This record gives sequence, C-alpha cells and structure tokens, in this order.
Amino acid sequence: MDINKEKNDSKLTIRLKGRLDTQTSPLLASELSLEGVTELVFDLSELEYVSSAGLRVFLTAHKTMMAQGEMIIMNAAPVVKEVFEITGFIDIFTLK
Amino acid sequence: MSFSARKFLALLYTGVVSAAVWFLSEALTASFAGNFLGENALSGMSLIAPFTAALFFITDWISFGTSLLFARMMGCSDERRAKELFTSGFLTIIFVGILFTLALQFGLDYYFGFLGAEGEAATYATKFLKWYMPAPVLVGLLTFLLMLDAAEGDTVRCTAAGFTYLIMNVGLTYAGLKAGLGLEAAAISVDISLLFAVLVLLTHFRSPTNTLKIVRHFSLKDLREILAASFGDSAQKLSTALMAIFLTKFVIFKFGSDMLPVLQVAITLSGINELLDGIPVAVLPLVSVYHAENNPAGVRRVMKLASTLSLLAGLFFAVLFMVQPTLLTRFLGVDEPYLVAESVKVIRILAPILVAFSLANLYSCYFACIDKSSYSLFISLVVYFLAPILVVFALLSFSEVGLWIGLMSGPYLALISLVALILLRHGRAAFPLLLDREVEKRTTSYTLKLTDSAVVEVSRLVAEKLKAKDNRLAQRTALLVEEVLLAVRDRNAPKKVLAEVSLIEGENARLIFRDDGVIFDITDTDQRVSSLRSFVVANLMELEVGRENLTMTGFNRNIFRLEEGRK
Repeated sequence: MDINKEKNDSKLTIRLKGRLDTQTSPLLASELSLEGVTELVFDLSELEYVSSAGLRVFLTAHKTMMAQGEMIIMNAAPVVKEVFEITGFIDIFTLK
Repeated sequence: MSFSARKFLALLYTGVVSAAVWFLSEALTASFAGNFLGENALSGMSLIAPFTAALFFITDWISFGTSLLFARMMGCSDERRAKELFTSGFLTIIFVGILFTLALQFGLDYYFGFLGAEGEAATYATKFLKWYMPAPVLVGLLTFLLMLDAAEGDTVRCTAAGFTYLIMNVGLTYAGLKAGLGLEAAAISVDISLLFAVLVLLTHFRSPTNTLKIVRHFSLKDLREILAASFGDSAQKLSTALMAIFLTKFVIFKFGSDMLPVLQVAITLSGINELLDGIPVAVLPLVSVYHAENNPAGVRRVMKLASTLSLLAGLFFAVLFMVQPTLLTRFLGVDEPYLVAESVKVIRILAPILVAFSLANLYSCYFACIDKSSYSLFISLVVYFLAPILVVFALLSFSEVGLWIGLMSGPYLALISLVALILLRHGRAAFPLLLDREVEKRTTSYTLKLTDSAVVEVSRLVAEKLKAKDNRLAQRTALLVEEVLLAVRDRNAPKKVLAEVSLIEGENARLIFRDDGVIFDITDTDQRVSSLRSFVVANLMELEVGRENLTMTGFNRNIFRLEEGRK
C-alpha cells in the first residue's frame, strides 16, 4: 500500500493507494501523527480494499480528531464505501 | 501438506485400526486355535469363516450405506435427513444382529450339513459358534458405530474402541486357551471385547458436538436407499462370503478335510485385504463431502494420496509374504511338514493378489462415494468372485495348482477389463476418477496456517482471481476471506490452525472454508461480538444469505455462495 501525506498548516491530507488490510494497517497507524492537526482528510480514491484492521485505524484517528478537530473521508470507491455501510461506520464518519 | 491430505492421514490411522480389528481378531483366534489346540481346531476355524463372512457382509452393507448417505447429507447441509437415515440404519443393524443370533440358535445343523463338514473340525466349530450367539448384535453395532463415528471425524473414539477390542480379545482368548478352556474361550472373549468396544463408541453420543442423533423415525424407504447406496461396495463382502463357501466345499470335495488348514492359510492371507480396507474407510467421509459440494479438486487431492498409499501398502504385503511365507504358517501354528510345504506354495502364488485387492478396495469405495455404484458392483462381484472362479475352472484341468493361480490371476483380469470399460465409456481424459474437468478447472484451493501474512496473501489471490469479472464481488470475497479466517485464528489463539479455502468460480460459484480449529458456527449471526473483527464478521454474515455451516467433530466447514453483480 502507498501512503501519501500532504500537510498544509493544520490540515493533513492522506492519500491511500492499494489495500488496507491486516498487514498494511499497522504501517498506516505508525504514519499517523496527529499532533496539531485540526483537519484530517483521507483521500481513498485509489484505495481498492479495506478490512476490519483498516477500519480500526480510521476509528482510532476519528477518536483523536473528535477532541481536536474533524476527520473527513473522501472519494471512497463503492467497494470501500460498502464496508463502511456494512459495519454502520458510515453514520460515524463524515464521508464526502 | 494440504488440509485434505492431513485430514485423510488422521482418518487413515483410525481407518486402519478399525479395519485391523476384524482381520487381527480372526487371524489371532485362528492362530491361537492352531497353536494351542492343533490343526483340527484350525480346520474348525475355516468352517466358521462362511458364517462370519456373511455376518460381516450384511453389517458392512448397512453401516457403509448409512455412513455414506449420512456424510452426503451433511455435505449438502441437510442435517435433519442425516439424522433420519442414521436412526433407520441403527434400528436395522440391531434387527439384523438378532436374526443372525436366531440363525445360530436354530440353524447350526443345517449349516454344517450344507458345508458337508463333519468330524473333529465340525465339533470345534460348533463349540465356537454356540458361544458366539451374543456376538452378531455386537458385531453389527461395532461396525456401524465405527463407520458413523469415523464419518463424523471422531478419530479418537474409533481408535480407542479398536484397541479396546483387539487388546481384550487377544488377552482373554490367550488366557482362556492357556487355562485349557478350549475354543469356547475364543468365542466368549469375542463377546466380552465387542461389548466393551461398543461401550467406548457409545460415549460419542455424549460429546457436545455430536450430530449422530436418534430421532423418532423409521422408514423402509430409507432402508432401500441405504442398501442401494452401498450395495456395490459391500457386495465385496458378499463375494468374500460366497468365495469362502465355494472354497470350503470345493477343497473338502476335491482334496478332503486334510487340506482345510492350507485353505485357512489362504483365507488368512487374502484377509489381509481387510487391513488394507483402512484406506477406503479414511477416504469415505472426505470424498463424500467433497463430492456432495461439487468440489472435484478436493476429491482428486484425496484420491491421489489414497491411490499411492493403496498401491504401496498392497506391494508391501505382497512382497513380505512372497519373501517370508513361513511368517503366516508359523503364525497359524501349521507345522506338519507336508502342510507347511503346501501352504508356502499357496502363499507364494497368492501373495500378488494383495496389490489388486488393495486397489480394488479403494476404487470400489470411491465409485460408491461418487454415485457410480455400477462400477463398485463390478469390482465387488467380478474382481472378488466371478473372475477368480472362472479362471479357477479354466485352469483346474491343467494342474492342481490351477486353483491358486486362478484365484490370484482372476482379480487382475477383472481389473484390466474394468479399466478398458471405463476408457471406452468415458474416454482417457476422465480416467480414472470420472470427475467433472470443467468444474475442476474453475476450482482453486489454498491451504494455509492461519497467520496474518498467509491470510492476507490468500485474500489478495482470491481478489486477483475474481477481479476481471466483477471487482465488487472480488473485493467483497477478499474481505470475507480475511475476516473469516482471522476470526477463526482469534478464536483458537494461541493454537495454530490449519485451513483450506476453495474458490469455485462460474455457475453456482462458492467459497468454501475448512479449518481444524475448535468447532463453532461462524455463520451464526447471533454469535458474541468481542472485537471489531467479530463485529465486522457478524455484519458480513447478515449480508451473506447463501451461507451454510457444517459442524463435524473433525473440522468446521463454511460455505458462501458468490453472486456476481450483487448489490
């Protein structure tokens, strides 16, 4: 999986490409340093797949961002969006 | 090693023990009779062989048929029907046992009259059979429960019951004969050992994962189904019984009662075939379930291993007895020089038959499992009875050894005819397993130890395979693979779990999981949610309408139907 980070003041945009599964999720978790970030954007336009391990990372990030700003998930492909729907996370996260 | 290979080897151990129970029991009783009481007692044992062969034929017929249909119904996830068939089979086996006991009570004189047996050998046989009266019901129950428990994968109890029977029977027979109790001691030992072995198997009913349940049901239609399903394979025991009757009458008529010890040597040698029966016993539950789920790749994996083992086992015993024929004569207590010389000659001529029998055993069971009973019947009747008899009659006019050469070469001629028949009817491509090549080509199987990396790798491979046709289906299936397998891993931690994933594409596409972890139904939407993963799995299960779970004591099996273009 490719992780592309772009920081603009307090806005952090993370573009994910490939598969966010049990093996790659720890990599994303280690790349997430949210200190001073008030707006976190995940661009999932090139993310093919997400499993529960990836959801856990999003959930942890969401928990942190609830206290210091907001988290937005953008451009999720239907396959990925479906996973959010199945789990009910679609009602917790802000998807655009 | 693949999941199916590992399961096959676990079942093989049980299968060999189950099969060895009968062979060793008869062989050791004959051995003790010969060694303690002399050659007349050994002749007496050969007079008992037709009766026990008939009993084994009937009990094997019902037991094999029930276990075959039980495994098939479980393969189709029809548990209710499986229980009904089990109950009908169970009641029938008890009824048949009682009939055999009544036959012993009222028909012994007729039996010996029919065989033309008299003198000291007949006296020994009468003594044995009078004390054998409780045995038929117990033989039936033991055969039945061994096969059904094995079909459920309860290898531990099957092995324990087999050893209980063997050890008790050998110990008690030896002690009884040493104490001078005569051949009655052997029959009483059989009764007591059978009872204890059956008790061991009955404890399976108390197992929390037991699916062998007696329900309020009996139907003659079930009985017809059971008998029809297994007649092809079980007719082998009928052939053995007919052959025992034919040979006993023939030897008495042609050579006189003096040759009966040599016949007993020949019967014991061909009885090694019973030991080789362990391989088909192990094949039955696996092939039946793979066949029922239309998974030819799984069938092929099991049969490849089973065929190699059958060939090697047959060769091993054939070479062993050709090189060391006196192993058998000494074992049976034959020490009259003339009889030893005759027996050695017979053993050397007959030993190669074990290779043919080993392969015939396996393929007879296999064809019954895949619903090609006509080939099973061909093997059972032609390989084991008709072909040897015909060749015997053809060769007898040339020489006295024609009897034994005919018995040895007949099965080979029959097997060659069967190969030709299959090639002619189904072509080279389908030979010898008659599997659906098209479905097989569309099947991919993965065997893996449940670790993060292995599970993710399989999930990726599954996605790659399906991507070209339907990306949405590919990713959802990949998610199912990852979540289900890791949930199984979590449930079993820290134990290492072996799993098999079969992806069958095309029409009626399915994803089939097997694992040897603790038994639990992952498709149950009411299962306890203890982690984010189990929460995701529970939600996935809500969506998977075409899901099925098969609980067997040996392994979990979960099936998911994959529908292209599903929203």
